[in-house]
Amino acid sequence: MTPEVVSDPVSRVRRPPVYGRHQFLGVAGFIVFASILATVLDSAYNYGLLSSWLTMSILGLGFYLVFGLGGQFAFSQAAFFGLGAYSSAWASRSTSFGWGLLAAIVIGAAVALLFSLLVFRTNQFYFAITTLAFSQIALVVFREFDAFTGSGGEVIGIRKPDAFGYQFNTDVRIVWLLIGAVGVALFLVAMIERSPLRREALAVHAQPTVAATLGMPTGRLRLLMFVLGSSFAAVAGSLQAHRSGFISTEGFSVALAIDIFLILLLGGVSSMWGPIVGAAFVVVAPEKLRFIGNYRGMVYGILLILVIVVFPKGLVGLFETGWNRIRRRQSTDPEILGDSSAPDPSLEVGR
Amino acid sequence: MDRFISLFTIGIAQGAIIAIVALGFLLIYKATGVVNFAQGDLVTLGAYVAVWASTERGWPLGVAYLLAIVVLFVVGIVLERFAYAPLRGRSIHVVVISTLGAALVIRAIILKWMGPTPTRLASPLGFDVITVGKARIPKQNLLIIGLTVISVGGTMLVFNMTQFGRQVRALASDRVTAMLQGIRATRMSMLTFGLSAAMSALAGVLIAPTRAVTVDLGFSVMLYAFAAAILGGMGRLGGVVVAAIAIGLVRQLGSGYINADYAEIYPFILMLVVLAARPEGLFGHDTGSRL
Repeated sequence: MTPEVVSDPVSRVRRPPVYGRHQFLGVAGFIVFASILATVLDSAYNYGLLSSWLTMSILGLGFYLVFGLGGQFAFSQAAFFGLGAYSSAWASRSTSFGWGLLAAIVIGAAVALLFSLLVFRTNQFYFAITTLAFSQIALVVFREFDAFTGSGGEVIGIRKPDAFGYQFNTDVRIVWLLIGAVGVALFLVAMIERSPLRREALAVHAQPTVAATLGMPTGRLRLLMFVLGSSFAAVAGSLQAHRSGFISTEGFSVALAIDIFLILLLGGVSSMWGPIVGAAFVVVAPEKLRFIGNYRGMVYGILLILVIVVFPKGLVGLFETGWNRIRRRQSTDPEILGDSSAPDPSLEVGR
Repeated sequence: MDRFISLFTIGIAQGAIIAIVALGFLLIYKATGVVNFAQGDLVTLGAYVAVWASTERGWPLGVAYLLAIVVLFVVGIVLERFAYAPLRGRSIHVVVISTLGAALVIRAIILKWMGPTPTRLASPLGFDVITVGKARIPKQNLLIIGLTVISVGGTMLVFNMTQFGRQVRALASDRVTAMLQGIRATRMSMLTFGLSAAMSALAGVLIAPTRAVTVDLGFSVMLYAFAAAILGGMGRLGGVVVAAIAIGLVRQLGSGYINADYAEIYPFILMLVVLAARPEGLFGHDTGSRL
């Protein structure tokens, strides 16, 4: 007598999809949206805002990899932004934009790799401080190492971007170049989102010990996320340098690192769309809302606290919650800045 | 030799200030587990309160110094109430980000209040110097060293000998058990935030006469204090003090004998090298332990 097949009670519950969906659709939607903006807007001022938004988006996407997925508290994103800018300006002096961009990626990735290998074994808080120290070291090197950066860390007359003989020499053309760059960056992140990499990175950062016992290469994953994210920053730096034609150390200070934190946290740390939304806010809000422009530091500080207290998943999280409520669906994303009362294991080993 | 004596005393004095900030930072870390990124801006705020009292109000320097310390004690408690207390039980990431937000707010308040123009804070000893051989040592440096010895010694005594220190250590070693034993964690965390901010104020008024007072005054001190705390392994207070002095010395001697342009980064390079070799710091035993 064969036993009756008992239907598995779990299978009756509709389980959430393994990966988030519609990322590529989202990327396409973003490109369409940005293209419409680029076509509709016309003043140099608006092109400037649009370009800043796109550049900051790349920077924020990189930080999403480092902090959102990799779970690493890093203040070094601004320094890698600077490193990319200076490397690109340096390498393109007697060559072309393409070589500059390549140099930015290679130097950025190499320095990120070396740095994270050097402090590989430190715990999370130590790592945060070492990235702060790294930013300070980078700033001093930018300022003093004249052969690489120019006197006092100021470089002028950086060539405009070009590709295959096409000159991106007007504001509009640069906007199109940046839309392309953000498109590529989003595409890469979407690939990661759809691969096991996202799941594993989140596991490593939520439960490092469990992840390690399950055979996940925890160290290597962290390293990969840090190097990838830092390279994104370097690319953004290169684009920024060639867009504005002028760089100085002021643009790469810790203040920028904190802006980047705000971009990701306000936008939503648990979604790849978070940094895009956050960057839009950080770029547009101080320009359009005079109140925010005048009280920038205060507003940003209070926002930072408000966001993590009231809506830890950021603006994108708010949209999602609203949308899910309409569709009557449970959220599927794991909490990244979770409400869990469990203390962060990596910081509280001694308990 | 004269040059060495001069660099050496400046190095010790700077290290002493770093030690005060690092101890203040460790106090909060041990009692609550919070890494307070607003520590540097508390240093700046302390300096500015003293500047305001002595230049705008014309009060005597001693009063201005005391006022700064008292005001910052209150600010520390307010900080605890607004940036830490609502987040108790949330992940440490969240609390750290909230202290970052608090740092931005404090900085913005200082800018609105005193403006971006650099100011100066007078030293109670003026520009007096002591000559040792040919080296001229500002008396302010000796004042710094003297007050640091007193305050650091006092902190250590309190930490190791009193009921308060015992409770902080208990919270550091096992928060839950300590609370079960009747330690009032809320009151302790308010008190440690207050004390820590007051120590920052002391560091602020001590360092302010040696340089221009700007809104960035405390930031670099905070970074060095972090480095000292890490090099000391966040462990025994003595280790952190030694590390802080070492950082002050490395910075000054490096600037005097290697290349002054890169003076700011020698301590950080030292820290990176040490962490590469010993990820738990020089005197640390167990990474992450708050004992």
